[in-house]
Amino acid sequence: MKKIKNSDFDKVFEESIIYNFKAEIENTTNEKFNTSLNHEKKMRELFKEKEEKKDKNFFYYFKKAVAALFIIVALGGLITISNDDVKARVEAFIKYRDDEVEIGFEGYNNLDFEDFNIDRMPKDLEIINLKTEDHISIIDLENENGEVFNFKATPKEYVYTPAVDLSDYDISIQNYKGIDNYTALNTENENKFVMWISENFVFELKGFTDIKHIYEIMRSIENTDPRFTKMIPKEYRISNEERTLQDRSISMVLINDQKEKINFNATYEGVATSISLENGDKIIDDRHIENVDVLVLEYLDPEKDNLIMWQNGKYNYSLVSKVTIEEMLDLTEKLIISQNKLEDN
Amino acid sequence: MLNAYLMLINSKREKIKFEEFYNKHSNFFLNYAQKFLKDRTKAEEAVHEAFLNMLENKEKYIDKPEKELRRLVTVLVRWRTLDLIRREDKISKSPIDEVEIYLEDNKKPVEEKVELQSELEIMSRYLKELDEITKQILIMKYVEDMSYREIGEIMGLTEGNARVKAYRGKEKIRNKMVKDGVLDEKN
Repeated sequence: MKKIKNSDFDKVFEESIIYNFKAEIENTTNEKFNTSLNHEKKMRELFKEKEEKKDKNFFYYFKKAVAALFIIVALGGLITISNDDVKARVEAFIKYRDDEVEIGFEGYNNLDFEDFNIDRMPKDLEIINLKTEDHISIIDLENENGEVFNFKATPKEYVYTPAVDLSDYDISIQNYKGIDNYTALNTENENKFVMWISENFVFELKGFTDIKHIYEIMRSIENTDPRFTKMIPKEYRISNEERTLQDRSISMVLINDQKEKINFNATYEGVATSISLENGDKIIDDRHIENVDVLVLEYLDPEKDNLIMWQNGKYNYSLVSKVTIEEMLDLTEKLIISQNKLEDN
Repeated sequence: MLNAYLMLINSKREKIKFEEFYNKHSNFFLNYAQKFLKDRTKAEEAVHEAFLNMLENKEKYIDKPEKELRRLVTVLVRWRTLDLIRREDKISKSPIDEVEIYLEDNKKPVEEKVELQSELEIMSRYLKELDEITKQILIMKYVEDMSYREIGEIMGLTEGNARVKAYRGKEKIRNKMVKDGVLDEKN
């Protein structure tokens, strides 16, 4: 029997895919296709459904998008994007509803109230109310114009949601080149606004607020971020001498008793957390299960079923552990159940 | 239906181009989809989805030479037929990577070793081992030279997932061929 050389495999494989596809097409005729009786009606219905969905989204955001666009254009001349002083980045999620926008930081499970203290609040704001109820810390701050910023911290769920009371502001969102732009525009004075751009899990906060100060706030959060030391798989520890913190990037080497090493690198610039392993026989896979992204790092060798799994739910992620596939499935199931419970609540 | 599609296009030049393309090739696409789906109405739906898909990204596609555009829309129709089967299949609620669809009787044992004339024929026989989702990714990659990101966007997969599926599909075939002794082992 004819044998294929291993060195030719890639080329023959690719050519065969193309060859088979061409063969598939060649067998298809261009004869008149008699459409079904309800064809026109059904296709129009499908078409209408799609258009209605689009229209709904379009009109909902159109009015606000126009205002946002105006601000972006005006701001363009004032702000130099490349200047660090006008940039502030932090991992966050943003929700908005009616007159309120919430900016949430997830993953700060070890932060307590002291970690979210007045030093991190924008200046020119005075505390007018401060209380803690059921693990929820509430701080109301007011500026000289009487505008109230309401920060909530909920360590119980590991989610901090500083909710800014923006009842005098018109919140808008638009997508520009794949990037979501959020703008809170003061309805009385168009020169007053807060704007931030969300790209993946990162946002830039810009506006009349003292950006330099906000930048410092975010930096201080970054530097005390405990997440990366919470993501270490069991049986592994950080090799201290190889841990570095530089600018927005943390690099460390994890090592187990068998002296196996994992090079870990995490960066705040986007979600592109890269993980590399010393041995080249592993591959990073990512899967979307229900509404939870699960990153899976596994051995390619099917004989071994060890793997390391990261959970990346919303903007929070944690390294679960080194587990077998059976354990992983079990964990995934639990993950989905707990996620569903969280959403039900 | 053509008129509805034309409403999605603003430029007169593009309208004319699309109309010509539609009139010339829509029967081909419908026959192609029908071949897999064995259902007239579903074939119409698959082609409809493919056209909408194309028009949603018309700036990317409309100026391609006719032959290239026909091939590209064929690839989109192919995906839409798979997607329809997947959606209507009893296991449609499973994640996409758990769904394996065999459009035809592709599971004939490879062990039926026939003396084949060319490397392409040998390989083609093994390609039948691939599930249709993986095959679709490979077609988009090799026939259309799409990036894994583009493939993922069209098929509703992540870039990484598309890449991994393609890689695994290829390795599966390689291993099987080595095992059957039709491919030299790696040095």
